[in-house]
Amino acid sequence: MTFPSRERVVSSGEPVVELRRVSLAFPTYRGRIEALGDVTLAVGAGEITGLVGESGCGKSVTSMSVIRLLPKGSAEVTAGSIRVLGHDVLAASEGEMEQVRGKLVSMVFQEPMNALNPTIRIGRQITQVIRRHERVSAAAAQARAERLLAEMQVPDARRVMGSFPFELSGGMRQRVLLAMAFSCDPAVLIADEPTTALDVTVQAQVLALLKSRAQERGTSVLFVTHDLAVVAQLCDRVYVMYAGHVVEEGPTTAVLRHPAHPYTQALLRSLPELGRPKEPLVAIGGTVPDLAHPPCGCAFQPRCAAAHARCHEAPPLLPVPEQAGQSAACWLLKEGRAADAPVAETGEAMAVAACPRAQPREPLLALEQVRVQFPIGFDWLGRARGHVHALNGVDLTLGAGETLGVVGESGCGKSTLGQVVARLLIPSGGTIRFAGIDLAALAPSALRRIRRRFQIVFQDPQASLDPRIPVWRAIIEPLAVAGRHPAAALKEKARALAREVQLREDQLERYPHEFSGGQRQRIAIARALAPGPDLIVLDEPTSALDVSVQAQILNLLLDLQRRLGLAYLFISHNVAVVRHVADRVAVMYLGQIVEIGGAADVLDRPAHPYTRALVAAVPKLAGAADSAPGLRSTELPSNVHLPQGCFFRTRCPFAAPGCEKPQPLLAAERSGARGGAEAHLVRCHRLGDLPRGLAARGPS
Amino acid sequence: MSFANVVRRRLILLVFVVFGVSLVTFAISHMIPGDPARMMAGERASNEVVAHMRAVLGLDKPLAVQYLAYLRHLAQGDLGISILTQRPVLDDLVLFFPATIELAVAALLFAILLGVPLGVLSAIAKDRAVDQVTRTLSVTGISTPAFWLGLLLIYLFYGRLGIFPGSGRIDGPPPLHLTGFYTLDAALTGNWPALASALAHLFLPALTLGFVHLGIVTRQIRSAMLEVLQEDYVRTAKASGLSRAQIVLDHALRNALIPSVTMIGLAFGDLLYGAVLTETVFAWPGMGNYVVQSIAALDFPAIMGFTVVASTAYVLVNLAVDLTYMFLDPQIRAVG
Amino acid sequence: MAATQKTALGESDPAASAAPGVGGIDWRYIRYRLRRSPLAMLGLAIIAFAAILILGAPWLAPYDPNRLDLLHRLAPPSLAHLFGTDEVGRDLLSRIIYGSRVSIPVGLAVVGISMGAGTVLGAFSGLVGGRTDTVIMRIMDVVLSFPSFVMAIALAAALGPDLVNAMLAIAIVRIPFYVRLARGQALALRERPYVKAAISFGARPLTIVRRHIVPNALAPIIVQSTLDIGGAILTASALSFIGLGAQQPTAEWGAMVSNGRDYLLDQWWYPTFPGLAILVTAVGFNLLGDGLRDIFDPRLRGR
Repeated sequence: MTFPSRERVVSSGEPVVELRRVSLAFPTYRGRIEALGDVTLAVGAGEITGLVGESGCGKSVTSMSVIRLLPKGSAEVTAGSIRVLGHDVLAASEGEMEQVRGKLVSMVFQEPMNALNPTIRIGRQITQVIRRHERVSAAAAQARAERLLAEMQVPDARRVMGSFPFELSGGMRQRVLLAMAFSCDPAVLIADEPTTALDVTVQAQVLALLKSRAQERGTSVLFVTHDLAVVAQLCDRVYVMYAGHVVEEGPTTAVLRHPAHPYTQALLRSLPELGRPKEPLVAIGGTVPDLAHPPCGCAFQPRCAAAHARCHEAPPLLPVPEQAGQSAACWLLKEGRAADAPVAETGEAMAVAACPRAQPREPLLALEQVRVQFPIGFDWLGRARGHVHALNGVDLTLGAGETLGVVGESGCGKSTLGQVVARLLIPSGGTIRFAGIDLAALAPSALRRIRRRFQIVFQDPQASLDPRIPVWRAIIEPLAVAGRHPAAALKEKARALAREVQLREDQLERYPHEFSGGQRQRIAIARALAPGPDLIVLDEPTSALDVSVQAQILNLLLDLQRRLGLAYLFISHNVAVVRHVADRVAVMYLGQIVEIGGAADVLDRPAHPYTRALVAAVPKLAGAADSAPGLRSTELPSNVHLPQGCFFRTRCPFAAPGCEKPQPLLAAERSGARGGAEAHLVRCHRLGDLPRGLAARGPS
Repeated sequence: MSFANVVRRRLILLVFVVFGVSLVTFAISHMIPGDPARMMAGERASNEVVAHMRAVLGLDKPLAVQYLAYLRHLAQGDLGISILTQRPVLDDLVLFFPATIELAVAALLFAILLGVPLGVLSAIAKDRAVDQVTRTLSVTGISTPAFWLGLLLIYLFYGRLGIFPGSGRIDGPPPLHLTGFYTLDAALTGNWPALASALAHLFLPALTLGFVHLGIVTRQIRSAMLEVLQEDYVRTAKASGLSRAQIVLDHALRNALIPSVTMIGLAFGDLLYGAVLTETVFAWPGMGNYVVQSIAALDFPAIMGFTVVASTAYVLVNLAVDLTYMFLDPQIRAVG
Repeated sequence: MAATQKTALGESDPAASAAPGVGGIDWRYIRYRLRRSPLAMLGLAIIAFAAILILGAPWLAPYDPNRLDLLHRLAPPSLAHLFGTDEVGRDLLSRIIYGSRVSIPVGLAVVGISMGAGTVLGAFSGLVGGRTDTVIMRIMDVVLSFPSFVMAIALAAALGPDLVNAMLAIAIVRIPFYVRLARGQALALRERPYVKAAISFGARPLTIVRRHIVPNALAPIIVQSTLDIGGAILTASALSFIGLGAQQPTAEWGAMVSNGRDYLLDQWWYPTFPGLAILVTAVGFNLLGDGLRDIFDPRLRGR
């Protein structure tokens, strides 16, 4: 059997990739995991097809099964057929598959850091693929690789060819991988979360690149992502997966505007950018089903408010009335009922009427010129070779009961800030006052006492819980270490805390690994609540969670804040999440606050060029996002050798002579200056004469 | 860490190690039961002679002075006089050193040439029959007492079959001394009968010593390959349609070999250990055989001299291994 | 390709709830993995058999291991003497059975001493940090740079040829391996968010060590020590072989091989069977250790 040339297939109008009723399972020690059930999917010639769903829904498994990348022993296709360019992939020999992979179908993965071989030069990794599939001379392959890199907007392609992967940034590596994927002009490109690991500004550029290169070559794309906003921006058609099943498919605009399946509807509603600020998000109750013991019938039924008797049977994909090409796997369609209504009710049932929160009072926390430096490496005499400047003079205040959101790209120092506030790092300079007390002046025992008033919740709830301690003991640990209490009292306290975070009390004897990510984060929150804090530092508390779970946790946090009067320092890279929860927002860049003020002022009317770029780069559901945020260089400058003058100068589209002067101080934003804690402050020389308008475009 | 930095660190460490070894050996020679002066003078010597001997040896001075004298002698390459051979210990060791190195290199070559392919095979056929057999072989190698395996081989190939000699390095006169390695000297001088004899004598000891290290090499390569084979870049290579040979031999093995260099290099240091036992069994005239005979005769200058020389060699080998490792890893190479 | 499966399935992945390299022990997962590892099960069976020999030697041995029988010197294997007899007519099978009471406890003791001392020193060094840590680790660097067997020879020779001395010598030179391992664990665990969380609510350092660090650091140390027992048994028997360990008339396997060496060409069974006992015991511990390492090593997990 030989696979046909791409030209013949593309002109035939047949789908280039076609999965028909594919079921796939992984045998494990917990039993068989039914990763895919009856998945039918097609990628049309020249189309960009999205495959969207939460982690664990089977979208990556689906994409990898197209070119049979799943290891033989561990994954078994139990039913169905997979065709690429009309030919059966499951029947092909390994040798034939080697000819398909990279030549007819190529693939780009999520982690650009590890996807390139660390010991082989970039050039050889690309030419190796070219020469594997085509009879060309070494020189010709070399020339083509260079041209491909240039097409992927890799500056100085010739030098990059001779580099090792570790010499390139994440964004550059992803471009190299794209060049590799396009190197043999494949008919199909499978992109599995290719930009998830990248910063939002780099993501926008890589996505734009991918789209234009695919369109130029007529390459079909299967784009796998968890991010509905990216789908909206990129894809012609979309498949929504849930628990190993396709629950809805159709043209992107139709599916996003008129979602027919209750799950798709719920997913869209749980996005922060669609909710109104400060109001609870519409969370999807319950969790993703355990695929080792899948539910009977519709997999979404246990979480669906519209579930009824019929749902115990698995629904087929049914056409959505009046929407051409859209179909959803839901019985409601069969019965002619609008699937919309019942789920909207759930949303309302879960939503607790939001009440206005207490106005910020005296600052609970005040940072003054806080600096943190880390020595990097030592020479053989033990002297530091240099320093990483993680925080460079941070001033901020946080009132009781208030939420201050901190946003910025990775490496901007926002997590360092969280650790300094939680006193897990001792600042190299500056002062931190908590409730008016200078923490540096306290004796160890006094510090231990005051620590109880500020707690921290980390990003990864799995790592922050000791796997060997049952949950109830983890929760009351802060109390147990503070003094002796009778076990019964501690257990009762643990139960009370569990109720507080809506954990089931009968599960408290279990160990952390028996819980899902969202539940573990609830446990971590309960533990942080145990000593009765006034302030909780939330360091990316929902970044490791799925969108629907994220919504639950955000709701929980808002609810706790309202009832307990907590102050939050909310650190996140996700602008939409911060916009949703924060009263005030601080934007960080290279260890400095470049803009701070009310959440609406900063994020809806950003003044600083960096904030503008950050906000513009966020993918939006409605309409195309600004794919060229106008940053001059996408990579963060080194924080070992800080730029002179304004730190942002090296990337700023508005940089002008004068910006290299000593760092500008926080200057009041003219339009919305109010003074006091609510002031909108911006760190920019050219604040007065910046062009207005949101989408700040620089000379690109 | 840069290249020069590592060399500097390791050389400093070398000084400390030699210093430490000298301290230990000095302490040991003062802990031993019995009087070295009497030993040197002989059992029936008169007390005056022993006292004279003590003064000659400097044993009547304070410990610190004695230690400084010991260090000064060490620095001059003076390791003392062997009680057994009545020759300077250093001369003895120089005489026996090439034999040990010849044996160790032969054993290491055997272990690497067979162990690397076996390890790769085992990893790519994980949990299949080939893998189970290879793993059993490697665990057996690691668990085999070298001295016992040597005896079995002598019994079989010398005692029963008579196809290999059971002891010594060569029959007849050794080849012209160039390097001290009989096989190499014989080949360089075109002395074919000597070469054949040297190779025949080398075979069983090298097999004995090599078998133990075969286990170590195979196990290391297998686990390094398994780790590398699940890296994302191997998946990229597979998704790009590269052939199985390209993936395994180019992408995976290249990365698996880098950490393995350290392990295998350290194993070379440990060959000294196996060599002591193997040489004893095969009466191979190397340093190991020398030290075991010295132990039997309580010849402490010889034992301590061996300890100092072997430790220094060990540190130097480790230094060479680290430098090789750094040279192979482009990330480290770039910083240097 | 466990990573593939993990990203593909998220929390449904078996590894997610399995025993991590540092952390909790899921017995169900260990049983599952051991059952699928025939070689590890074989190792476990060998160790169980050795334990029976040690406990039941007086009942299992057909003869008194030290009874001389000059009429039946160097007898070949027969029904009366399954493994033959030695040069003074002692029954080799009985001596090998009793030898298990010497060689295996010596191996366990060596590992016990080096693991105990090394772990305490390493955990202390890692947690205290600073100058103390630097000094301890530099000393360990120096000791690690000694070739361990050579040092064991020198130490055993100086302490005098005796089994206990040989044992101490081997144990001492192995301490630095455990110091490094335990220190690495302590340093890694110190950075764990749950340890940081404990610091954030004011737990004292000793409380943290007791509650979080010690239990979580144990798994890799136990794996390492299992792998080491086989090596310790081999080294002890090697020292006995060159005359630095057990002395006559102790029934020790290495010493028996050494005695039997003189009779190799005519009485092959004499050195062969004691050596086989060493080999099989070491294989047992190494197989089990390999199996445990596969289970606990997070990098090898799920394969």
